[in-house]
Amino acid sequence: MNSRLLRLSGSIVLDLLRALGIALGIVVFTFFVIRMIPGDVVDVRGIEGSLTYSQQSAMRAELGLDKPWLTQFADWSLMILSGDLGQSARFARPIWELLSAVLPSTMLLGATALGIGIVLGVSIPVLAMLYPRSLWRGVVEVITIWSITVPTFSIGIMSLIVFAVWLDWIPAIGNFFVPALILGIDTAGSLAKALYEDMRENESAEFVRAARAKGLSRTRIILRHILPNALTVSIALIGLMLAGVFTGAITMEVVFGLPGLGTLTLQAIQGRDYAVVQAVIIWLGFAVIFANFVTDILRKLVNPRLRTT
Amino acid sequence: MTIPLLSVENLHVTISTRAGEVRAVSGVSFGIARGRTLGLVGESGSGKSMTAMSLIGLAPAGANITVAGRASFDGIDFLAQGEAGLRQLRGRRIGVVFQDPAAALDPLMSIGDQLREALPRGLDGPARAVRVQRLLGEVGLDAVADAEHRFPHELSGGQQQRVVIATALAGDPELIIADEPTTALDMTVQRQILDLLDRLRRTRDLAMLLITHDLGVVARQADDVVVLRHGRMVEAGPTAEVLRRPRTDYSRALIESRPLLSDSVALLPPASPLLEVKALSVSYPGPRLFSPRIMAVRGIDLSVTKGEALGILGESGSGKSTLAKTLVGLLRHEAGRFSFGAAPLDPWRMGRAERARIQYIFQDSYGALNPRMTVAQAVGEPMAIAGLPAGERRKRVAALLEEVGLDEEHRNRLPRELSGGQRQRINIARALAVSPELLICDEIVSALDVTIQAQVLELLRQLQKRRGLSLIFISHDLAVVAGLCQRVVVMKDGEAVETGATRDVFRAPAHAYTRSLIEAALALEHGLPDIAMAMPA
Repeated sequence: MNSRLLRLSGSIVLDLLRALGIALGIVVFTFFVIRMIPGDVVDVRGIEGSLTYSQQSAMRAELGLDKPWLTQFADWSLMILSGDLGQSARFARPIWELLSAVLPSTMLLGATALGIGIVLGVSIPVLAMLYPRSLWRGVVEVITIWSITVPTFSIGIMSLIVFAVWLDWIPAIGNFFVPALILGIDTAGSLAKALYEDMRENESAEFVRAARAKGLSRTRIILRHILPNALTVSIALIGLMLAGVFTGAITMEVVFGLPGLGTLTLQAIQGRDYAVVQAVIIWLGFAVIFANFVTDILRKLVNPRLRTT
Repeated sequence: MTIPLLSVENLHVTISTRAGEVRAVSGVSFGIARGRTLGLVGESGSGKSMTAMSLIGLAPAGANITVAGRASFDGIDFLAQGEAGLRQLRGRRIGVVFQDPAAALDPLMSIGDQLREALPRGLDGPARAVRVQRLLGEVGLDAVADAEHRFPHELSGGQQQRVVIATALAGDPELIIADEPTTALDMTVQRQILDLLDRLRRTRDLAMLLITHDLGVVARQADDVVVLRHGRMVEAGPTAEVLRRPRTDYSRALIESRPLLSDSVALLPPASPLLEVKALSVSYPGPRLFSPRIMAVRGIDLSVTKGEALGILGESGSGKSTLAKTLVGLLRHEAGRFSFGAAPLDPWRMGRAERARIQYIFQDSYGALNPRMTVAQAVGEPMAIAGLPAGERRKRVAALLEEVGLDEEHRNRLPRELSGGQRQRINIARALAVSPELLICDEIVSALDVTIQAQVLELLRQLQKRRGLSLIFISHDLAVVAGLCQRVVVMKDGEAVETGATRDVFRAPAHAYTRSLIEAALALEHGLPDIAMAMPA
């Protein structure tokens, strides 16, 4: 076990390279798949009625869309490598500007949801351990089943109907707290369940018996021994949660009419704004790599066996 | 006669299970005074741990137990205490030393923190720091640089056990319950830990309840002994008397089935080797991407002739299991030449026919069996793979079961319905199913009780004679090797430090390491009766 974990930590470099490879694969995949969707940005503009046929040809030539896909890919790669995300064909603005306008709100939504998810996902199973014959045990089950079975967009729409339309407690467009809560509960479920089961398993560990032999109280044993040991395993889920929260945020933004990455991505796909979609995918790829990196560091913080050099 | 600190009278422990009530302990009585050690001896399932742990409320989690009888500690009635009352006693007045120190220490907590949380309440920071240093010194860890800030995985097994002992002492207890404190340790370390416990008993005037399966430990350590079997007291009295003049057959069997270092096996006439290995090296990848590979086996030569048992002796981490796994192609060797029956062999690329000639038996008899396969299925599987028809298979399985000392009634049992000894017999039968010429036995009797161990060893001897089977027998136990193996290879840090006839190596060890192993083993045997302490002439 020990040497396996050590090797795991030793291969962070390898993990990082692998993640970069995957990100690259996703970028290439998206580049070609989005071009398979019928119509490009110029067609969309044409349908909207603002361009003549010769204007369309001129625009395609200007955007390079008349070249073979491989040439387009080479051009685009060179541009990305030089640090330039390019221009949005639809909005005629640098993509960097578009992204920096929407990213803060998406990241705030994601971070809030993640915060709620971690707080609920850790505190509920801990309460269920501390008060074994209380309702908390049931709460673990309910939140787990909830997060597996209830899709966030459907509960989002329902809560709009209930809280915005019927009760008029929140505005129908632009509410921040409800989507954050929905996403938070959604990600809390898997963490709560995994952590609870890990804690139950650790409860019968020999070091817990040894802690009881020291005369320690049950509360102290749970908080100082059982919880940290269970976290060493469950913490891997936080990386997954991070990725889940950001993809979930995209849906929630659309449902709740929040400006953000989600809304931008939707518009870009509908408008065949290739460069924007590609930039978003690259950003998500880096977000996931970053999430994995953070998880690795968290695991090392909790587990001294991973820190040894 | 001094008044006992701990006195137990007519203790009964009943475990309620879904299948009904199980009497784990029935009518056990004993007493321990300050400064004395009582040995609680028995084989697995005898109720020895249950006796001690049920008193202080540390019976295995999930077991629904009822305790009856009388048990008092310094005038306090154990049985009248609830969990809160017992918690006041645990740590402060009664300390516990556990069997497996690697499991008993929280892997995420530094040694200092684990000690600090066991200290009495109400001490201020500086006082606690002083206490921690004093405890570390008391268990001989003051020489370990910065022991306080280390984590359990940064210590050796012996050092870990010293930490566990220090945590048991932290609350200044009057009674120490030591549950198999040396079983998980290497033999050279066992003696040091036993010496430490004995010294602490004297300096702190502790009463000590020593739970063990090892009569050698009792003989060395305990003033009085209680022998348990199936939860009942078989025998009790002063250690020397019980060991010298056991009154019951069971105690006698316990004493007599213990393998002794003075056992020896006659050498076989010289013959050409069945398996010959030259300059074998095996390495593992290092912990990090670019760290050098770890050499687990370095340039080992060995050979075994037909019908011979070759012992591979070493402590944990010596590379003996790596060596064994390489021989059956479970690990890939880095360098080395093999020949089997005069033909060259590459264990990593063996075909089915070659694999059938060398079979492997694992230490963990339970883990090695599929929990959902019956005995007949497990033993029959290798034959099925070889394409034997069902009717023939049935007959062969019956014959094999008989050969390993089991009968038809075991056929349809599942692994969990068998005892440890029976499971290991099944593993042997399964290995024999393809009629191998060489059996590689990796610590196959280490987890078994002494009386069962003796039976399995006897079975191996018979198989050797009857089938002309060769054995490579990996063990950390010198006495077991002495009684089974004609020749022995002593391994340390991946190298063979000594090779030769077992009798010669044990009588006149050439290497200092072999000598230290033998001294440790002798020290643990010391005190047992009927042992000619001098090695055979």
